Amino acid sequence: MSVEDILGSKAKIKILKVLIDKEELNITAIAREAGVNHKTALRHLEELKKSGMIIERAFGRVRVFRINLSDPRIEALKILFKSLSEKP
Amino acid sequence: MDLEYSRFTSQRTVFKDERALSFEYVPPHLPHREEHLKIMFNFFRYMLEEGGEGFYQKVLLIGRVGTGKTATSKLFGKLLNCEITKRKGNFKFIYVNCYRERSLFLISQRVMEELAPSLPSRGLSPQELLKMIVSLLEEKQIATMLVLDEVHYFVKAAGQDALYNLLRILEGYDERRVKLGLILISRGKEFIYELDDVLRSSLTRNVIEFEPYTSGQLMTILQERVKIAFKDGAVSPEALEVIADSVGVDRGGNGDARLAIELLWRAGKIADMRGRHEVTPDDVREAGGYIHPNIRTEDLRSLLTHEKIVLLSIAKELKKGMAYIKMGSLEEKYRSECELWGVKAKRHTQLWKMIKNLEKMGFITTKAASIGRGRTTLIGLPTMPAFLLEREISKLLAEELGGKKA
Repeated sequence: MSVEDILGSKAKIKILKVLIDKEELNITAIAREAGVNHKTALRHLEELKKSGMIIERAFGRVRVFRINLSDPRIEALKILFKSLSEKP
Repeated sequence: MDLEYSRFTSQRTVFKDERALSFEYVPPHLPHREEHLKIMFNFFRYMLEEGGEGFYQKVLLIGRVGTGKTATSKLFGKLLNCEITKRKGNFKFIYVNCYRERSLFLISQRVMEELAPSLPSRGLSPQELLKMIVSLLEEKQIATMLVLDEVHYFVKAAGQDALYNLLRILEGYDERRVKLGLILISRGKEFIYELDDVLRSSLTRNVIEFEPYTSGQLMTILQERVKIAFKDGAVSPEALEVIADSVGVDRGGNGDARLAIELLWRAGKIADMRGRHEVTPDDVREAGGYIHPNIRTEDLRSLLTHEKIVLLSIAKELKKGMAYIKMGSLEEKYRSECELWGVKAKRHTQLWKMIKNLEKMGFITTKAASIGRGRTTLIGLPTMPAFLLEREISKLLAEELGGKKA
C-alpha cells in the first residue's frame, strides 16, 4: 500500500487513529468511532488488513480488528499522528 | 440565609480513616483467616507458576454472613495480583455479586468487559460470550480469577445449567493453555444438595468452611481495625469488649464481623456527635439500638410470656425465608414452642386475641387470604429481621422462665 493510499483517504486515517487508540474493536464500533458508515469501514479495513497493518480475529460470528503492533509503519504513524495533533 | 457548615458538624472527630470501616474495605491483613488463605494459595498454585501449564480449579467458600468469605477472596485476589505483576504476568481478578449479576449472560458480559472492554458483548448469546472469553484468555495469556459471591442465588435465579456452563467453560479447549480459577461463595451448603450429581461432585471437591468468629477473635479483628480507622486512644478497650462480647458466637451472638465493625463505626459516630474524644461502652450500647432500630428490647420485655412465645414462633417460621405464616401453621408452631418452654398452650381464641394485640402494638402485620374454599389469616413481620427477633426473645424467655431453653 502506497503512502498516497494510506494518507490520501480521510476514512482510512480516521480508522487507523481509532485502532491505534483502542488497539482492538469490532466493525460496528470502528465505524461509529471513526464516523464512517459500516460499508466504508469494512472496505477500508479489508484493504488495511491486506497491507498487514491490521489483523483480523474472529470470535464466533464477531469479527474483531486489531492494530498490528509489530508493523514498523504503525509505530511511524503513531509518531506522525501525535506530532500533527500537537499545537506548534 | 446565612448557613454555616460548622454549625452542623463537630470539629472534633475520633476517626482517622472512616473508610476502613466500610463493607467494601479490604484490610491488608485478615486475622484468623491466614489458614484459609494458605489453602486457597495451595489450590490455585498453578496461577503463579511462570510459563507453567494452565488449569481450571474451582473452590467453594461456605460460611455465615460476616465470617470473612468475601474479604478473604478479595484479599487473595490482591495478593495474587501483587505476585503475578511482580513476575511480569497478566492477571485479572473479577468479582461478581450474583444478587446484581444474576444470569449467565450478565456474568459473561461482566467478564468480557474486564478482559476486553472495547469488544462488543451485546447481541451475543451467553455461550458465544463464554467462547469468546476462553479464546481471549488463551490468546492474551491472562491468568484470571473469577469470584461469584452469593452463588446460591445465581443457581436459584439462573438454574443449574448456567452454573454447569461456567464450571465446564473449558470443555473442548486445551485446558493447559488457559489459567483460570473460580471461587464460589455461599452462605450455606443447602443449595448444593439440590444440584445434580455431576455439579455436586465437582463443587464439593474443594470446600473451605468459614466459622463464625468468637468474641476473642472479634477482639483482635476490632483492635486491628481501630488502629487503621481511629485516632490513637480514641476507642476504649472496654468499648471493644462490649462489641466482641455481644457479637461473638461463643457468647450467644452470630459471630458476624460485619455487624461488629458496623457497631464500632456507629459508636464512633455517636462519640463524634456528642463531641467527645473517646468511644465508650455506652456509645456501643447506643449504637446497638441504631443497628436494629426495630427491635426494641424494652418493648419486647414488656410483653406477656405467651405473647413472647407467639412472636418467637412467628420469627422461627419466617426465618426460613417465607414472607407470611398461615394462622394454622402458627398455631402448631406455638403449641410445640409452649411444650419446649414447659408452659401450657392457650387455646385458639386466646391465641387469636394475642395476635390482634401484637398487631396493634406494631410487632406484626396480618392480612386475610383465601385458600381453596376457606379463608385464613397470614401473619408477617413488617420490619424486624426474624433471626434477630428470635435471638432477642429467646434471651428474654430464658431469663423469664428460668433457663428452660428452646
